[in-house]
Amino acid sequence: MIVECPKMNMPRKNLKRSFLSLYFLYCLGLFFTTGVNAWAQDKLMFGTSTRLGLQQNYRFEGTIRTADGQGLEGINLFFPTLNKGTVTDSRGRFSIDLPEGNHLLRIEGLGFETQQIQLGLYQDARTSFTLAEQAEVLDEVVVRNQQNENVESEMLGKSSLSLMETKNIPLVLGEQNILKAATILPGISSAGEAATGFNVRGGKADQNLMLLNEAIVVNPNHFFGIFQALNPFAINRLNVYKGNIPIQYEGRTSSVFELSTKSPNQEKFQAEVSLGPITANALVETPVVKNRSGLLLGARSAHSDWVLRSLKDPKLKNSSARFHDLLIVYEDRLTEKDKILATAYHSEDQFSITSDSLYRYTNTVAAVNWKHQFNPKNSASVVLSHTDYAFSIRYDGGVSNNFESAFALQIDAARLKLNSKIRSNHSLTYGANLVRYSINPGAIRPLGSNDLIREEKLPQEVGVEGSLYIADRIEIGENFVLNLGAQLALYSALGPAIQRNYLPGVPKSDLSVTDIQTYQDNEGYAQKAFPNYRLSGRYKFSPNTSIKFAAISIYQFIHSLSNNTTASPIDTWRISSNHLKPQGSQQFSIGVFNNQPERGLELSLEGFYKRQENLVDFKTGAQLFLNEYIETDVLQGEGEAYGVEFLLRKKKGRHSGWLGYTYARSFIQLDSPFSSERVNNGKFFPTNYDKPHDLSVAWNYRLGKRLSFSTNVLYQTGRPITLPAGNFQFDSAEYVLFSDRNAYRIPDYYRVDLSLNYDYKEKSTKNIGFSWSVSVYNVLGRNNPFSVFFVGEDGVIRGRQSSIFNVPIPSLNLQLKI
Amino acid sequence: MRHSISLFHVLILHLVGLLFLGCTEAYEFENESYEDILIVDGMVTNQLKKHQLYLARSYAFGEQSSPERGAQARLVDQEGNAVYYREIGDFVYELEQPFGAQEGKEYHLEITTQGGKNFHSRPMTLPPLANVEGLTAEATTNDLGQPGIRISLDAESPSNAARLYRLEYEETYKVIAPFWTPYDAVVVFEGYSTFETDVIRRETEERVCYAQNLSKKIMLRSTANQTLDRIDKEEVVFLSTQDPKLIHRYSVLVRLLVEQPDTYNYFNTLKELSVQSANFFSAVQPGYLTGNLFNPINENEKVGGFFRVSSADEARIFVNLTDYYPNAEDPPYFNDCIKLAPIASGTRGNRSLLNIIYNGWMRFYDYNRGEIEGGPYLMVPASCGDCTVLGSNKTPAYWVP
Repeated sequence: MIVECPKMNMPRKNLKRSFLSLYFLYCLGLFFTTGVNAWAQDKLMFGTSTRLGLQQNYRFEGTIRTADGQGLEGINLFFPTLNKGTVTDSRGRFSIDLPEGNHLLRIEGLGFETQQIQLGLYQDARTSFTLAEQAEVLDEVVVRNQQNENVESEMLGKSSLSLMETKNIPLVLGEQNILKAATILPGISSAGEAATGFNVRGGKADQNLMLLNEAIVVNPNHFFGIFQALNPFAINRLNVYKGNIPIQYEGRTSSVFELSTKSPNQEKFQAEVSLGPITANALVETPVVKNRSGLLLGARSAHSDWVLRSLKDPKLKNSSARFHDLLIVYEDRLTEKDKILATAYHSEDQFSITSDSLYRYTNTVAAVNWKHQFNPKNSASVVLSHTDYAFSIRYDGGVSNNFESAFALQIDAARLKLNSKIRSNHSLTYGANLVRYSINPGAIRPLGSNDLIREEKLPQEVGVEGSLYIADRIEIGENFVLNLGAQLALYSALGPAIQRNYLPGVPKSDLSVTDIQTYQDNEGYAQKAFPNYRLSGRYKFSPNTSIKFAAISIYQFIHSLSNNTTASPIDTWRISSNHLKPQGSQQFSIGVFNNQPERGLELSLEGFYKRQENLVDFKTGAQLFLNEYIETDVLQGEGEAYGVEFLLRKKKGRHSGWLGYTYARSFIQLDSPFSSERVNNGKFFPTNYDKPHDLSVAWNYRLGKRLSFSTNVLYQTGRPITLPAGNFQFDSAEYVLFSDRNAYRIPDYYRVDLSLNYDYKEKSTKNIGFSWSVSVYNVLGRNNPFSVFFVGEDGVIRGRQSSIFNVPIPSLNLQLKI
Repeated sequence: MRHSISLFHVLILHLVGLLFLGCTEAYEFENESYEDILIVDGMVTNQLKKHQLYLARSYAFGEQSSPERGAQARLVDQEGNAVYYREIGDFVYELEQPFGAQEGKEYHLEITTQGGKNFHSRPMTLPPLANVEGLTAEATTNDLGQPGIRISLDAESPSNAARLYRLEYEETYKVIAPFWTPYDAVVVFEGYSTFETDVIRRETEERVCYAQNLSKKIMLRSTANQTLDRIDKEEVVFLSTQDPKLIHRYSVLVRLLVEQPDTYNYFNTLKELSVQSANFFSAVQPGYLTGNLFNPINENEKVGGFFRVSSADEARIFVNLTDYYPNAEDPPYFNDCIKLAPIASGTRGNRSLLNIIYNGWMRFYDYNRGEIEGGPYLMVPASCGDCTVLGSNKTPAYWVP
């Protein structure tokens, strides 16, 4: 069962230390260098300046393309005199409302010549621009610059990553993973090396709403999060909202991860293929109706079994890991004012750590997103989505205890969002959501007739969550933006269901049941309304400096049952019921943002304070799976988290990348009049994911025209753990005495990754390209624990730590463009 | 714009080096986390007797439990009447006079350690009584298909209100040392160059003994979801036909305890925590398990264990293997009884035979008449030649031959 780690007997400790310190000095010293951009200027005129008096707004829209006609994503259109701007979408399209008049327009994109244009706008206008690639093709961590977005936007606590940005982050096993790259940003940490969950600002891993093109995905990870379960060719962008969660989202208290695929190419056929020893991936895009609709098909599979089989270790030989995923995206611009985006997604994982057990989990998602523009001032979007997550465990190694167990979760959601611009400085966002959760919390059946496992199936649970919301964005003067929002969340669990009533004044247990309440089909119970608020604002001191604040409240109605170790793919979920109360969170945050465009620097400092109620935890000795009356083992308590996050991003020049540091704490209190329901004597104690220090550096250095070097450095305090504190004799047997909950910590996490990247493009055609990158993951060979657990060996309790990558993992990636 | 190229291909190839999955290594934690706390293990029942209380310290892994000596302890009822405990040996304190708890009455324990610390238990009430109706022994097979004898219990609660049960048992079985002889080897003297051994008659009974074994497993049974508060055919012990306890005669005393919900929950959690799993996805939440004892001055001070007030009833059964399996062969003995002839020569302190005699690892069986190469005597493992290694040579009062 347990595979020993290979030993490396090198005197590495001192080497490591000196290497690390030198390296940090080098990184910091070289961070502040600037680059130069080329300029050009043109004039463009639409309509004539005839009317005098009242100024009117006009729509200015179009496309930005490369010389060979490809739409360019992430190009900034900036109007310095208006202090306004926009960014092109994945097909190079942009659209912005501007007051009539003459304006200076600057078009900027990394790797392209900057254009300056004098724009005269006196009617709605549509145009296209062609950008010339810069003579020197930059290959650096392109932190896509939505010019001044971090100063301008009132979205406090939003982090964005595009696939382009993650391009030069050193790879693990040869594939890009935008979700893993997100953990390099401040305030977001992974639950552990190769753990599937994220902890955002002291929140639990189940408190993140994962969205793929607006549809909920339960577990977007393959194989312990080493691979993202989403096709890396297709994923275009990730936005993480960790502070001010947009009002249209509800149902998870910590964050929203908004993943979006690129829109299919509507102009020509395009294919991407990737081959490696672990994974094979193909992505095909094709127009359906040219320049109107397109289809994207992605398929990926891992075939690592042969790698495992070729290993000498007999225990690893018998392990297995496979996965595959499929993605279909269809986009159709039905009319000038209507756009439909349909997404279908399926992923499947199978792995066995030992030869006698097989774990399997699947995600299935289907969604349709329709956007309609009524007029320049009013727009609407409707999203319908279906999500299915299931896992099963098959055990086939015992004499008479073989079994198969299963879990399933389904989420159906309908979301309507409307935007109305009432005045030029006043706009409304309002809408409604309806989400239905249906859970099969657990089933087990014996594999054969010899197996003594009793067949059992917990009854299905259904819950419905509805919400109505309205938010008003008001610009007060030049520099102040205020966003006021109110949301009403409504929850009801639905029958058929059985709920127990317990004797008040004693701990809930099988022994204190007074009677049983039965609910009929679709009969509501545990119904309640939860009013929420969103308040945020931004004040700009100067064009490059602003202060922002936000206060939000939010509720969550489904809960994953995960004990104090790491989040895993086999965590079950349960709905809120008469006894399992909804979790609530209030967060207050404030941040200062500063840009230094001439040096390509962005600085931010954010602080937050979060108060949570009804956080889910468990009694000591709790059994989580196949526990029909989970309330007898669940404890709910208050949580408190606070922290500061510092981020320095450098976007231009030979050196680029970012440096983030977070100091954050997260505590929970589980108090009760009964000792069996009290943890650590009812005092606040660190949560399982309380990791005070978190430092991350992602840095890229351009060595020449085509060659660049990049690296990640990550450091995190080890997470808390409950340790055996000795033995004791009781009732003529020996037992283990455990410490207080989370009284100790596992070793700190640190990791350094390196990569060297080379990019070559044939200048004359720009269509033949060749690139390679060599990367090494975990250069120091640090054995970062995935989990720590305890086993009884010869009557003695021994601690074991398991790890996934305890040696440097080199990989080579070749890319050929024809 | 170039329209000539309508195909746009990108091909990516990866090559990856080593891959290690799910390996584990030792995680050192013993020294940093060891906690030394008082462990209280006490029970009083409705049975009139000198109930015992065990006081010990928790101990580091791989070490031995150490007793809490010199403590003062008393059992106090709701009217303030107290009965005192007396220390009668390491770990063990015993009530000074026989005592039986009364139904519906509250009791609590007070302890003052030698160091002057006070610990109290929360008040505990004697639960309703239940009766053992009888024990049954039958020939059957276990889950693994091995033949053996199952001993099971029937019980009922007249008040229909006992509901929460815990079972304990004490096994007693007759042991006859298979290689016992009336003689014993002794060392008469040992010098640097000379030594002398002799064979003498044994002075104590070392052939027939009675060994005892206490249940170590936590056995809980709830009838909360039954209409009738009764237990039918609840398995207490299963003895395989190969179990050496069945070589001669076997007896078991089964004690049925009715527990309060707090006590039941404590044992239940203790049981779940003691299931260790070497698993990536461990399913039990570990943590410090709070019992019903506390320091009234400092509630933060940890004190482990549980003081319970339980209703008890018990029954005993005797079993002979041949009554159930008339043709069964005797099960193998507890140990392999290999005869050896340790050499006596060597320098002082290095003479194997003498060392074995000193520390009692092996016992004399016969003179070595050249059967085995080596020393002068044939020796057998202590448990094969001396039954007191496994039990007591006094016949228990309850023993029915």
